[in-house]
Amino acid sequence: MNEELDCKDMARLISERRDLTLPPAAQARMRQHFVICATCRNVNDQFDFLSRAMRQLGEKREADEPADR
Amino acid sequence: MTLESELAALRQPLFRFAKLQLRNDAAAEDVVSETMLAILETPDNFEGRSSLRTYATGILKFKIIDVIRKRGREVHIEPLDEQSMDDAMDALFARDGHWADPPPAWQEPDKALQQGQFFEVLQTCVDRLPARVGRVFMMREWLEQDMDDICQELGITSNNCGVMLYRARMQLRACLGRNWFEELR
Repeated sequence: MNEELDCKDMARLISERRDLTLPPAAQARMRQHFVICATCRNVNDQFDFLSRAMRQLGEKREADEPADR
Repeated sequence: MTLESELAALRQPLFRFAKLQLRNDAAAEDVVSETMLAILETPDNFEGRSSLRTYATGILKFKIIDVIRKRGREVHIEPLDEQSMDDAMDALFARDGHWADPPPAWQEPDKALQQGQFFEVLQTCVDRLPARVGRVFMMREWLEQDMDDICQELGITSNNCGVMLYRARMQLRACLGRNWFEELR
């Protein structure tokens, strides 16, 4: 149970925690890994960005269309 | 511009999104028509607080969810072959659990959200997902449905659902990295 998480475990958990609440122990182990691993921080930021982009998909067009109204 | 002509201009983009989600032209036409009718019947509900596109997309989402709910009871979605899916993901990592090719940080990603062209790329990346994976991902991230609802509607286990979302995000991450953020290979 106390084994350290590797990046592969992390990738799955980084995805999973966007969809459900992880147990506190898993959250704590993730935090420990984030402290030492820039790559997993990147992946986390990128999944986060992906969600924001998806929310805007289909809604965000006005910005780059010519201002005609 | 009249409401009618503004709506007419939105028909094509709304149709594209409905089609992506429903994977069926006729069903997509139906939800788009229903959405437009709903707006035209009660134009006062749209008070210009948001853009018409945002307002119409919001209504469209609910219409799409309705269709998926009805379908979920009729159509059984085959469970994915989780083994081959896991194998594809495994290839991204070395045996010791490290990334074979560690993803670099993206430079100023929020700037992309201001560019229409970025959304074209994102759309293309989403279109390339395997049908069932794309469906679950869109239900979760675009329609913003709860996991429980998604699993129930599609008749799949929450683990299966989670694996599909994981796979979708990993593929989209790689697709955007390659095609927009110019990650070096």
